[in-house]
Amino acid sequence: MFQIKRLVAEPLLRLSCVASASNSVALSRPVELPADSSRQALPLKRLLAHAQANVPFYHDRLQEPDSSVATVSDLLNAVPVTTKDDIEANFPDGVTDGSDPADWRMMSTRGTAQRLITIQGFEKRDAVRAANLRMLRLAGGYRPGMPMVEIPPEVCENVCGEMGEEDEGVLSHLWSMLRERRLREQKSIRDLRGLVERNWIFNRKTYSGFGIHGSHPPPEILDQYVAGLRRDRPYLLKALATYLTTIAKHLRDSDAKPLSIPVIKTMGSRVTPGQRELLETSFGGKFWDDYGSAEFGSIACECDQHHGLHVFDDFFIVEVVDANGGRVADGELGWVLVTDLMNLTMPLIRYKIGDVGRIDHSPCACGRTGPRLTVTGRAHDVIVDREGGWCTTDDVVDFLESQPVVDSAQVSVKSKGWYEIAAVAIRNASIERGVLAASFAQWIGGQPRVDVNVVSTLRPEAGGKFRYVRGDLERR
Amino acid sequence: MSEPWRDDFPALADGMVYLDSAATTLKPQPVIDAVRWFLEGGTAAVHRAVHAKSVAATDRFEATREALARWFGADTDEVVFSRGATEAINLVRRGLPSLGHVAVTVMEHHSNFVPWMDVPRCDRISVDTDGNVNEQELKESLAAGAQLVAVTHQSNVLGAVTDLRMISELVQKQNAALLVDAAQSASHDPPQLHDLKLDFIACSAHKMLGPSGAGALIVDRKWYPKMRPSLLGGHMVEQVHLDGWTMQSPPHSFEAGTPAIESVIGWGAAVNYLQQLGPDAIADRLATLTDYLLQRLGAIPGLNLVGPVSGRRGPLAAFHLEGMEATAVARIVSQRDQICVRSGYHCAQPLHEHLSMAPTVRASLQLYNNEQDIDRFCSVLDSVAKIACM
Repeated sequence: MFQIKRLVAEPLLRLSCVASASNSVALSRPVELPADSSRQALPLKRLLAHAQANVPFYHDRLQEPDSSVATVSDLLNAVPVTTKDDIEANFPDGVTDGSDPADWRMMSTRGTAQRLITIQGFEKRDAVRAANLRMLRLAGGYRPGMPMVEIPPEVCENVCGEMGEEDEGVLSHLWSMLRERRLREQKSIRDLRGLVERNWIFNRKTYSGFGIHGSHPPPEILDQYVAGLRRDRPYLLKALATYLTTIAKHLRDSDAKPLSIPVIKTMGSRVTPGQRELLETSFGGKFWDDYGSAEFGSIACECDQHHGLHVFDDFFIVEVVDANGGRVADGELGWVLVTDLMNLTMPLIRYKIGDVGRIDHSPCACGRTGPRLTVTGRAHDVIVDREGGWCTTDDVVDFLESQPVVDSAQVSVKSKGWYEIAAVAIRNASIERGVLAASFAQWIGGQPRVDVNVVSTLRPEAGGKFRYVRGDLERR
Repeated sequence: MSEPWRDDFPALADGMVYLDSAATTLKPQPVIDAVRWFLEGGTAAVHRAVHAKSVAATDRFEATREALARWFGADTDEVVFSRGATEAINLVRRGLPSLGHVAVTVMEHHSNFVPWMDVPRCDRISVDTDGNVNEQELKESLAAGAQLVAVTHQSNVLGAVTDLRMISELVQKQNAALLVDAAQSASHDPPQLHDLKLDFIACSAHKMLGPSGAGALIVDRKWYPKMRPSLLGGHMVEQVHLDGWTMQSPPHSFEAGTPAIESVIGWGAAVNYLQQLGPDAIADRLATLTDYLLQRLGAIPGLNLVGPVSGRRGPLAAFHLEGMEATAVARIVSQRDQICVRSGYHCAQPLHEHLSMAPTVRASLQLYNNEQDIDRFCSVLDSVAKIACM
């Protein structure tokens, strides 16, 4: 079956593109742009002009484009930062361009905020597909038809009526279309295309998340995941970072034979630098980082140098800015802003995505010259130390997981100088609370109050993701 | 009547539109003051001590019992405090463990559905899309020996108001018991225990402008000898010896442990507030607002209302917007204009299954709402409807 899928996946993908007048395969081929080139300025000018003329929110916010301004930096300098609150307060009619809604699709974030809903027209959806293909190819060499396993965050355990995705086979869907005479129904055709893409082109299997077990299911449950991965032998494993690290630690601690999964990726969460080695050893492959969101799709990914995320700069302009929206120097931490060059339906211009990171405009050893981004966590997860320095999720998690007998831990800033840690011990060990508290106090500096609770598992947030740091940067 | 009471609700000061009162109501200032009185200076255990603080707290606590009794047309000793309507219903289920056959409608809230599912025979009485209870099925269930019928007074999804008099007559003919879940109607249309010949009424404070954590079971006292307390411990006993104990008289025998005193005291203030306005005036105002809501919603393209569109109905409207998940609609209106509505199954999943309905959006009203709230809500919905083709 796998070989059949490998053979038919590429042709199916092209056929699907032709049938739907999609340009995604062609778009997925990366375009190498010189930084700040006129080739990037042109689509930006098109976006700014379109938004200014057609989107009420941007009417007064954007100037009439000045044709003499040629650089991306100059164009962006005149645009204020757009926040989630701005978008939400004007959604949907105030932030969309008045085009035919029949072409629109809505995307909702499932992150910790679970707030923003974006609208994408056909052109943007095509670009999202293309960016995804590009990311899969560049960061790990995935080709359509190769087997892939996903373990996404658990959506909702309550009886809340959130509908989520339906998992259905291509043939059974086709059969129901035939039986119920829905062969010409647009929604059925769209669903069929989605299923073909999911099951045949991407050959994707989805495992359910840890659910009620939180971050640390019992060994027998983890054995089931390992058995599933040995059975399905995916080329690519993409899962919530917590699921990846927990399964990897289980493999390590149970002395099981490592798996052989060439490509490991995370979805909807971050793997810290300190966790990479563990994942690569346990899963027997390479971890490839990438960056994206529900609003934008894939934005950037690593190359084989694994030294920063190459921004897809034919699709996006990414900046890193300070609190006032001014660009910071290369290597400095700041808020990540994204401008989406492909979404004219609901333009997001200098949009504060909620992450913090660094940017580097120097050429990569791989030969690419575009900007590279390093994302270090969510902005609201940043702890500000007593000198005003930022401790990002990566810093905090790597510090805590390097402590003796700490398997994983969650830190909350209760108030200035007061931290609460919930820590899970490694198997068959116990955490000395006073030792951990003292160690964290020394690391964060000052003379803070540190309360340590030892727990057996960590709980995800309502969106199914785990939040390891509840910081105070965004509270200030 | 306009909305003279709006200023009494501090939560509205930030400009939000609150249309989720079927889930929980906002609290007027007198309720906040009553709770504050207890927490700030009035803290004391009730029923237990002779000091002045305890006496004062007990007086206020027991005054709530009396106010509730008047509100539901019952006697004071027919009011049993609980932690909420769910616990009140469970008091009956656990208090009558030998029940072998009951009937519930499929439009019940989970709190009046799940507790009955372990009865050896639990008949599910169907309803139509307007929430009319299938009389024939109910008659057959009663004829087959149903000992208790549990029914909602007002559906929290369809808004349908149950014909309690008709059901009560059917139930009496068969010498069965009738339990009414009045959580949705208690604030504006409290069913009258003796007038309607009901056996049990369950209600909760937080849906009557009161604090959460308190509820009550209103019991026709003839049931007391047949019911056993489901919780044992302090307060519910008269004497305790090394080898046994004797029970207090009802309703205290069903109230083991320290109650949620400040919640009950706050609830008393809420009932007084409602009494001042009068249930008829509140019901009239809510009926006017509900008509307006239905009219405005009915004019939105792609919006399909569920439940009865004419006749008597409760102050809420649930609907689907074509092509949009209910959750997305609720999130958008919240983000866009601080409008709070509920989405999902509303703890009535069996009803959704029975009527083959997807999750709905629900807007529900209380006396603090006005026409401008509805206009704001419908204005955002109008713009959301533009993307409903997705």
